[in-house]
Amino acid sequence: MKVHYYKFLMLFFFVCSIAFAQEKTISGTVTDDKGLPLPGVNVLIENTNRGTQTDFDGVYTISASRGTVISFSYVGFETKQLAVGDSNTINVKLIAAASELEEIVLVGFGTSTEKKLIQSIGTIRTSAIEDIPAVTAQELLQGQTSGVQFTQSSGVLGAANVIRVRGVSSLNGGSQPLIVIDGVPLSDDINTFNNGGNTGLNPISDLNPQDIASFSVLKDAAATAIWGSRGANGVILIKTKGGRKNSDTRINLDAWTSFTDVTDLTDILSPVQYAQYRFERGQAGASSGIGAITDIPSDGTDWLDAVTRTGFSQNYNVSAQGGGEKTSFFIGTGYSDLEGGIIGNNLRRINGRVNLDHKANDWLNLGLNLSVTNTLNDRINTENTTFAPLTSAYLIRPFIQSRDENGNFINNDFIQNIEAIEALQVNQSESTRVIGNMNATVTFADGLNYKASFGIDRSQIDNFTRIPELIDPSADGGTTPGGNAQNFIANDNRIITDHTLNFNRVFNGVHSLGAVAGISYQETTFNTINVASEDFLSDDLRNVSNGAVPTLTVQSREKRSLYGAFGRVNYDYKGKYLVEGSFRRDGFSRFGVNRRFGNFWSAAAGWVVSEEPFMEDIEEISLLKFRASYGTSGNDRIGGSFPSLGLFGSAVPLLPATYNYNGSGGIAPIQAGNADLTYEESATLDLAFELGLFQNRINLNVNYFDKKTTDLLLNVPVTEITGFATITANAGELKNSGWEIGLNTKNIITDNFTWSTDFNISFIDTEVTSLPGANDSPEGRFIQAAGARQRAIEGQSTNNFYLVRYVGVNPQTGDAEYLDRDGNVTTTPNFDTDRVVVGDALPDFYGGITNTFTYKDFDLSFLMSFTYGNDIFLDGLRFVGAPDRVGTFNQSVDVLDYWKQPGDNATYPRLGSPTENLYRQVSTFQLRDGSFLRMRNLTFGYTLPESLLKNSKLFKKIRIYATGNNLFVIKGDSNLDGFDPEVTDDINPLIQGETFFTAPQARQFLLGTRITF
Amino acid sequence: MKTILKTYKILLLIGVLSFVYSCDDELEISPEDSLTEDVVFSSEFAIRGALTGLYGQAREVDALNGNRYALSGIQSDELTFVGSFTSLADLFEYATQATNTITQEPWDEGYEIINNANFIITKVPDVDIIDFTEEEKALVIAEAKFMRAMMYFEMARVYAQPFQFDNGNNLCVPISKEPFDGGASPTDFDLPRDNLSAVHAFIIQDLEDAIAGLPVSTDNTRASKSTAQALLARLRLYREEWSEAATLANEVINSGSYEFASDYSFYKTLSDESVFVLANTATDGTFGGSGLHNFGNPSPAGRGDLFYSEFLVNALESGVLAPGNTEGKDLRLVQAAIPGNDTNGVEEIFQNKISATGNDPLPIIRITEMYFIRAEANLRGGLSVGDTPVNDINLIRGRAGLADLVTVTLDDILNERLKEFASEGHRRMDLLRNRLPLRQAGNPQFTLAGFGADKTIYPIPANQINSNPALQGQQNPGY
Repeated sequence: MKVHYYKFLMLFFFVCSIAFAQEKTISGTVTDDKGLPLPGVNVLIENTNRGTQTDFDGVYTISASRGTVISFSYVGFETKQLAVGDSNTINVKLIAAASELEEIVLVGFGTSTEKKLIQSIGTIRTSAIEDIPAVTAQELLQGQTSGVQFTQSSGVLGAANVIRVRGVSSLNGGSQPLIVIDGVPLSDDINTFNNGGNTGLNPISDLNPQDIASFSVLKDAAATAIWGSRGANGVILIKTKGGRKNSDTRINLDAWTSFTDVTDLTDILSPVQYAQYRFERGQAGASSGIGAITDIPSDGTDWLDAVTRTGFSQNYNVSAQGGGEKTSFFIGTGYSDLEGGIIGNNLRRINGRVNLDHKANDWLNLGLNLSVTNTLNDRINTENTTFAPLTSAYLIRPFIQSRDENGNFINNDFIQNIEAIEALQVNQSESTRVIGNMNATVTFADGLNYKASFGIDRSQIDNFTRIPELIDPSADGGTTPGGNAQNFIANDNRIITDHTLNFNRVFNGVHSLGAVAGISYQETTFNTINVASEDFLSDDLRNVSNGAVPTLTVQSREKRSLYGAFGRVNYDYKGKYLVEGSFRRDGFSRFGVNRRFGNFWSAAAGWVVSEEPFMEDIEEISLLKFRASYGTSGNDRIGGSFPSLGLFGSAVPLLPATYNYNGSGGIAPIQAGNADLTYEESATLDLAFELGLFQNRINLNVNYFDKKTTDLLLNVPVTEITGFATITANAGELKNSGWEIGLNTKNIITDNFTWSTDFNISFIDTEVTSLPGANDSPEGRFIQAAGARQRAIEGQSTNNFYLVRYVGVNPQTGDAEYLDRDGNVTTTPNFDTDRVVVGDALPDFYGGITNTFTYKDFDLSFLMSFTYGNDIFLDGLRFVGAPDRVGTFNQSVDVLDYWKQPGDNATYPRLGSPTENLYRQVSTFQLRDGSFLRMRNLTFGYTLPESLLKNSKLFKKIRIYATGNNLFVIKGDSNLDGFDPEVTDDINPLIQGETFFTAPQARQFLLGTRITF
Repeated sequence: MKTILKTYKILLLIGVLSFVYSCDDELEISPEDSLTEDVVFSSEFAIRGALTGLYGQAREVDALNGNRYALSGIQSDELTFVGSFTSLADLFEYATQATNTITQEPWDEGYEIINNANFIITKVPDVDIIDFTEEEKALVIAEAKFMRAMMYFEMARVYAQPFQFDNGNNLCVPISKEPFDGGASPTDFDLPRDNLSAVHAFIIQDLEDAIAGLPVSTDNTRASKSTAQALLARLRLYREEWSEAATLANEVINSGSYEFASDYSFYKTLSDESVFVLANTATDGTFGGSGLHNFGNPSPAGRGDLFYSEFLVNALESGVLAPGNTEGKDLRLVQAAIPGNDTNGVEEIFQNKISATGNDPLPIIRITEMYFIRAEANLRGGLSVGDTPVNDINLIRGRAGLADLVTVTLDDILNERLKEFASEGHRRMDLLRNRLPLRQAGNPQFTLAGFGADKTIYPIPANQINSNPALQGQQNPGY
């Protein structure tokens, strides 16, 4: 009854206000300084909540009474206020704002503006990314903001990328930032088969990049403390596109097609070269020699050619955005059909999105963001497996044939016939993912509201492999049926709910006070089913149930929940003096019972000097701001769901066996308990100044940070008398410190021509400060990942390459020479004890530069990214660059450059030298400088002039564009032909920049059209 | 309107409060695919699972399965190694380093099993579970004690000089009796090495408890009274306690649970020849691959790295055949060995007692060994328990198609043990406990293999000394 009464009252007041205020309808057109209509301009009656937006033609209509003031605001333009007079028409010309200072910045659980921001956040807006045709969302981050290092792990479609925000802050825990889409923190556990290497699939490949409106990269503690135990690796907030209220529906169609090929392949021996080389070896009495060239067939298969191709891809996007008085919307759908540059690698993605915003009444606002994506990834193996196309193509001997005389595939070598594998086997991953968020905002009073949101991130990933008879014959050599199949289905189901109270008010016109307080609960459940079988009567029997011998039947489930309470208060005086503090308390089921809850906090202060009266006269300086912050955040990625519990289990860790015995269930201790196990904690000091000159035509941002991580997760060796080799404990400490510099300049602005440059560079120094309990070495205590060529050493970097030093081939003796530990030349190095620190996988600095030019209706932009001072390790050279392995593996053409006579400066020793086999060993011979400058993206576009479209009722805007991705790369190392310097075959922070035969980055030529209706 | 908002606020407050209240419980999540220690020791089935798990753990190649044999054979005169694995080549060439991964594993696996056994032995007496009677608890504990004794026994063989070296006063391995449970600190386990006598005394106590607590059983895949007696008989033999050894061996022979097999088809089976057999099945999962299974089988099924030495083959070929032997050679060469190609393509004689996959039952203690022990103890102790040494040895020779001996010497017994137990993990200790060199004269490593020589026993793993201050300064000499 009360509700009805209330509605009645509202109606009454509404009618009254119309009746008594003598409102009239005002309309007009809003244009920019060139007279072009501006759509989406916010038109607001001052001191009320009433407002509208201009439509696509810049036209607005609003009811206002005489004497009231209407404000017109639009991003990138200076806000204009006009009083309503006699006229019913008010046309407005907005002047482009000299700065973007008033632009909204997304922060954790709220927003701020560039001017008032005293957190360290890199924002990437639509304008910077809308013209980059990207396949994955993360690509859009490349080179765009300082403090973010982005390494694309390979050129394989769907491959994971390595993102580091402000260096490496974990050694054994996860190091990737938290990614939050429209308020939903994404689940990023790897739910796929490991297909070689350890990079997995990209966790946010399910997001259509064209749906993205902006990224905010949260870097310092002031920004991340409110994300508590998940903030230490940085947080990336992604906002997807929305519509504008009271605007015409705008339909965007974007279509592109592209050709992709593989860059950087190493030249290997042709069948003729191969036979000749082995003959020369035979003449020299070296191993793997042959007596006559004719001993080896002179024809064969060009395996590298067989596994690479020009991939043809197409991508379509259609979206509609707009809104009425109460509701605004964005509806979009995308279809991508991509072919990689390596055979057998395809990806198809179909997605749809609905974003709605509905103002139900004065006090209630409802919102919905929902996306559904289906991704079908035809996968290939990579790295150190003969099932990996590139690896196999490099290593298989060139005279091996792929098919017999009848054209049927054959598979008769130690290295599998990769062409047959890709033609016959199935290796796919299909995921369906729903990410959504429903929210309601209740406004209690002016400046005070409550927001409740419910989100889900649900994905089902269905991985399937089927290896045919030819590739997997039975152990008896094919007398009985072989072949195998495996199906791994993972359901990753996350639900999250947030409740926040927001308060914003300005007192006496000078004191601005804002506060947010909230609670959050998140629950994630993983359910996996993994089945496999072998011995199939026919390759045409696809599925697991047809295998005669079941080899795996596993079903398992895990659940985690996280609960947080948080708050933030910010205050500023006249926008000049700003202070802010935030707090979060997190409890996570993953943490040990003794330290299940953690408290995180931050404090920040800023001084906008340019707002001071004494600065008013200095016209050149449009902005000068100093800010400082200090605070803490945590890294909750300490592994699995129950890392702290002492557990008994049946499955033997790391082996395909159980503790069952003779058919009876058996269990044994599989994990040592540590009730103190908890998050890694980072404390960050952040100091920065921001300078804007000449109406912000030059913007400089300089940031210093010092981030100390304590309670670093370590596998501390303990006496095996405990039954365990190591226990996981929070023991170590490390430090990242450095400078981040961003410089944006508008170099030329004329009527017809503009040129602007965005440049960013980051210098980061990472040092391990304490590794208690770790193994000792002459260099200090260290830890290393299994099989890694690098070590994290106390007092040094986290990624020191630790190798024997290779000198070269002695011109007099023709033997390969190395240095022992003491620096003496030796031909018999000890590959264990002669190792020293020789390099670092972490760069000294990295960054990106974007230049954008417009001339009349043409635009040109190019983005380059660079990395300097890091080393990379080419593991594959131990196979393809090891001459005495030529009998088993094909070799790089470099092996032909061997020592023949005294005085030769050769790459490889004389044939038959006892040092030939040392090239199989790990040394600096395989180490390279990984510095590079890459032309990542070059886009040339042409927008049809208005005059052409004026007569068309249908089209509002047509743009055609051509893009080249990864057009070229300038390498810091002259000896890196055939290898891409931007590689890593592992997302483990302790194994960076190592590659077996990582697929190089794909080069892509792309043509596209974007049409707006 | 105010009232409305107040109502909302109150509802909101209630909602939020109830939400906060419920959250603490939500953070208590239990694993669903493994059990916490507390849960294990609150369920009789789970406790019995942990007991079964001791045997499951023993199936690891470096516990009781495979590598234990390689470690014995590769260092003694019974096997030859030609493979490329430097960790194994070092063992063969007496160049073992303290960092060797092969010699580390028995330590790791041993203490993993001992930790599980310690859980059972210390926790079960205090559990209070309906229908889990004191008698049942005692059986569980007795069985766990057998497995604990078994692993200490195995580790003593690997890491310590024999009893004969210094009457048991030499260092052996640390004795750990407590489980590493939630309440323990890893530093509680920084224990120094105990001497051999102390370890033997501990084993004897565990085995006597097992003998007292376990019934006679026909299930030879798990511990029973006779199993414990058999292991203790072996230990008594190693300690030259002839009377105890003979008596125990005799009791096992007379228990009626086992049967001296008529031929060698018992390998890879659960036959009654075995007093204790590790029941390997593919269903329980495969541990093989790096152990004797793989190295000790001819290629292509195995690597073909480890095969019968010339000395062993000669010994097998030089036996005097029984008149009825139609094969024309020692039947153990026919039924328990197989010719095949080594890794270099050269034909050698390989064991045929365990397959390359390792998914077949593997005898740990055979009834034949009890005859050997009874014979040797009677001979050397001047005793006459059960049957005479010459009868016991001739029983074994007869099965191999060899002619009876008229008299038996210690050398005859050792020679017969060499042939009977080829690559079954006995030879090294048979030589050490008799103060004999591990290699024959003329072998390149002969001078390094003499009784008491440093490298006749294996190093304490280097990383174990690094991670345990109490072990510092306790490395075996020569490492």
